[in-house]
Amino acid sequence: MTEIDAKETARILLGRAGITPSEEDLARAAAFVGPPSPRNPKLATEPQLMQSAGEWEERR
Amino acid sequence: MTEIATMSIAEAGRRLRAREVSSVELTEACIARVETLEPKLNAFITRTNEQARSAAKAADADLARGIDRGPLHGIPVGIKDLCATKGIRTTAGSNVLADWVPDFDATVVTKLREGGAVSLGKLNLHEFAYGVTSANHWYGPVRNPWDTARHPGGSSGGTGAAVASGEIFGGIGSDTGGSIRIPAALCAVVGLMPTYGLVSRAGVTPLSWSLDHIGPLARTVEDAALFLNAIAGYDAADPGSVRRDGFDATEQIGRDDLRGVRVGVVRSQFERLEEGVGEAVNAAIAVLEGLGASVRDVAIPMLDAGLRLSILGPEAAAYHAEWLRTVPEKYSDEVRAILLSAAMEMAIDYINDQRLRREFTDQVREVMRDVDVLAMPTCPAVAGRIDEIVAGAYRYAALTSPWNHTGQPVISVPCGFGQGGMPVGLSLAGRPFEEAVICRVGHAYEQATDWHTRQPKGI
Repeated sequence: MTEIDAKETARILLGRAGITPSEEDLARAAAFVGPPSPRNPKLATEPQLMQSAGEWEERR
Repeated sequence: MTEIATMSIAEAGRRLRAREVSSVELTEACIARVETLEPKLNAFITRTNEQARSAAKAADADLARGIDRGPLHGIPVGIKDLCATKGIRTTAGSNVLADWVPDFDATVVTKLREGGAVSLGKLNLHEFAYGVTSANHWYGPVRNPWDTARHPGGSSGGTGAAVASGEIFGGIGSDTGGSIRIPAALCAVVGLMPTYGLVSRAGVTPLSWSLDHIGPLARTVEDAALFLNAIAGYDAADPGSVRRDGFDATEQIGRDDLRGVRVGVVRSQFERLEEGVGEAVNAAIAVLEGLGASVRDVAIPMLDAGLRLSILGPEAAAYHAEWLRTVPEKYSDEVRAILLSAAMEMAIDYINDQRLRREFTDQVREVMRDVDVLAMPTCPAVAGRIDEIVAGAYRYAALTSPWNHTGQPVISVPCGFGQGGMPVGLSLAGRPFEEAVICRVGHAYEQATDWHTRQPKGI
């Protein structure tokens, strides 16, 4: 994602929250915009997560 | 440090009831200490000396009439400036609330007042509790009593510094990702994050509703347990509050023979530690073993795999959204930037992280069928210099934040010193509502060591 794209994405995401950031804040926020987070990469595909979701539904 | 300033809450309470000391004497000693040390520490945002003097006189008068309001009766304390105080400015460490004077008390403040505690004022913190250094942009940085060039941790840094330096006997902190335990570890005091829901959060500015805990910092484990007893209890005004009749965090204190206690060492949490931290914590665990505890390493697969949950940020952004729209300039650049980044989190990430959180909690519950306490370092490093704080300071919360997601109680106990002669903390996590067990183990450790008796050398 280019810097301009990241800024535009940040502008849209924050705009949805009703926030109009300054150009300086937008540049800072854009640094957090990127491809999907690799957070918990192993865990997100663990089959027990799906199983757990089912159990969770049962608990309800 | 003067004799009074080194006294524990338990000892001060005994002397108060034996009429060997008065609350007025305790309070004046602490006020004198505050006046001397504040230019160096900046632990307070608002001091309430005259109200404290009045409360101390009332506490003495009550005791003279045989009225005993509990373990904090007549004890000088401090309150994190995140807690609403009726008629006293409550800033949350922010410029947004710089002029807010609530017309009500937070429930925890009411409990302190009804319990006879003497508040010396409102303690400095990281802005809106969203940070771990207490380098407050608006009210100045809190300084660590062990080395005033360094930060005290946060976000309850004012409480940590004030307790460590003897300005107060104990104080209120809040903990969303480690904000009680981090300053406790970095200032060599005890910090106790209670089970989620045990202490009411009504009237406390939220950071993240599903992760916020209120709890004490004090100089000994017994003091932290006594303090917790004074502020715990069901409160209908907090939707997360739980009923726990007969709760007593002190009930196992004194059982210092740890035979029968099973300690699980969360070995994955010893990776990437600054030199000196792991050594101190391993030595502490050996002390527990020497006291009779059985010790073994435990695996918590999700934690060991580097679990990172994004729940705090979106909840904080939800709370702050309106102010971010209307008064963004009233946030520091640092906190506004992190809130804006949090405001862009995806709903699907937040929701799936809540599901992962449930999985993680189940894993920890399973592990704790076989052990009574989990042991690990509180922080991966000692306190750093204030003039070298960088965004990476959030690493201080790396080992503490997982336990906010499970909601179980955790105590941090001083366990030695690392680089630069700065304090290191040992974390002991227990099962939900088993504060008495972690306090037993922490107290036993204290009795076998002298770390908690060391005095800050930076002031």
